[in-house]
Amino acid sequence: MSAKKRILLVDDEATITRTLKLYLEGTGAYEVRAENRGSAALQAAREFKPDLILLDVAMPDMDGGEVAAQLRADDVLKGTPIVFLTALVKKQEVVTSGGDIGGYPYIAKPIEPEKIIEVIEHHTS
Amino acid sequence: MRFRSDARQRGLNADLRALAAKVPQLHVVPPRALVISAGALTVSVAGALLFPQGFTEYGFLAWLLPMIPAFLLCYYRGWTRLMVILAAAMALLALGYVVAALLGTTPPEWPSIGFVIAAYIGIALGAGWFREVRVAVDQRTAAERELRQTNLDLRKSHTDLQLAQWKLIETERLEAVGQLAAGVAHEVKNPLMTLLTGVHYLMQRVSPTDGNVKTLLEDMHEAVKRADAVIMGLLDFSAPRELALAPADLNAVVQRSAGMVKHEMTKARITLDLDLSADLPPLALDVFKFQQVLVNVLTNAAHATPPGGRIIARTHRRDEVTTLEVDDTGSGIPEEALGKLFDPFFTTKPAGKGTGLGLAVSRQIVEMHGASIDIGNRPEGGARVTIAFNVGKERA
Repeated sequence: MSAKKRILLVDDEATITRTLKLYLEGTGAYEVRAENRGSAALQAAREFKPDLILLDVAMPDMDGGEVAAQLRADDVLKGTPIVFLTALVKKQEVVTSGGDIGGYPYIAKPIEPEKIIEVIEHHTS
Repeated sequence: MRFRSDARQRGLNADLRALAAKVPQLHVVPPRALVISAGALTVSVAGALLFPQGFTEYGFLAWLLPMIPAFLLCYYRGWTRLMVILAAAMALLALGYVVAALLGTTPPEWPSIGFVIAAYIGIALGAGWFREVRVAVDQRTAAERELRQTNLDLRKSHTDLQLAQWKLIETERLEAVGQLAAGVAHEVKNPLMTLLTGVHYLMQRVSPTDGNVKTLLEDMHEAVKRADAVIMGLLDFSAPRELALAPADLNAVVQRSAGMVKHEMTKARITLDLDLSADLPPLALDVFKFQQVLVNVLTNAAHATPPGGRIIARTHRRDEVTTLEVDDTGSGIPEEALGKLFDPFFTTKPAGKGTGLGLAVSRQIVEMHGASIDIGNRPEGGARVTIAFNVGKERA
């Protein structure tokens, strides 16, 4: 069996990161690191070296857009896929259908966690 | 945006008509024949008494004859009032003759000059008075009419102002709802995400033998989906939206929408029939938004129709108007609900079945297309939703 995929989950809502981490790790296919501050995301990504970053948009200290810009500016992390996870958009679009925010794919909250797995797999395979 | 202004406007128009009907019509002139008769009666009786010898058969004719050309002159010049006066005078002279005969006087061969003068003065006075009154009344009537018009204009301005105010309030209300909705949505969606993920996590871990926990989790899952649907509906309703209009075939949109609800219909054992006219003009539609409307209308129809029932979606065209009707064979809509169907958050469905926003959103979308949507009961039972596009109006 191949190694677990590493997912960095950045959301200021601790309940979301906690449940989603439990869920994703519960599948046995992922290793998840949760981070609740946007401003800490870059450092976390440098340490964790994720295969994919799930990134909330509206966070009080640093929003997802800024975090994404920081990650893109990093030589090591710029190739890491980012998927926005946001409550701000209206439609429950899933990224495989081609929706994006500023060029990044996104998932609208709330969404069935199976769909999140689909999206992760879509962008990491 | 029209909102409920149509019904209000109709109500006000009726009020205005009632008001106009109440403005009194003045009748200050006694019937003209009465006026003249009274004046001239006095004159002729006085004449008969003062100049009893003034009446003979020929004398009467001698008075009458000069009046005939005068009468004809009036007739051809259209002096109807004077004509009436002359006719009355002729009648009065005849009356005077009768009075003289009754008094048993012996009239001379020719009428007394004095009597003729008195009679003509009486007529002239009567006519003059009559004319004066007429003029006064004409002026008064004109003033009245003007007043009534001014009143109507004022009422109309008032109505327009009220409508504008309503629209403003409605717009502001919607804006407030929009801002509120966006804020609430964000705040609610995050906890919903937690709940949804948590429920899924627990569902994977619950023992298959523990039926209660499984049921509970399923209910919780359903509750989260419902809450999400309400939030989505609210955002949909309040979000300012623009249409991406392009010429489209209404029938194709109906067919696609029918396809989208087919599964649900089959599951509920409802037949969905399409009766589509081949004679429809292309309409300027935002196909996706209109599909949303149709799916909503068809879903409502399905919810109202018992198993084994039938839903018909029909398109047809009469002159400039293209119409889409959706008939169901449900129990129809209660009378008291008819006026509220398009109000946000009004629903006739059992708790949990509807958000109460579907039709509110649908109407917004339909009206943005310049079309209208109405819902009523069919005499043969069931409800009918009618969406009408007036192509002629659009072009104008």
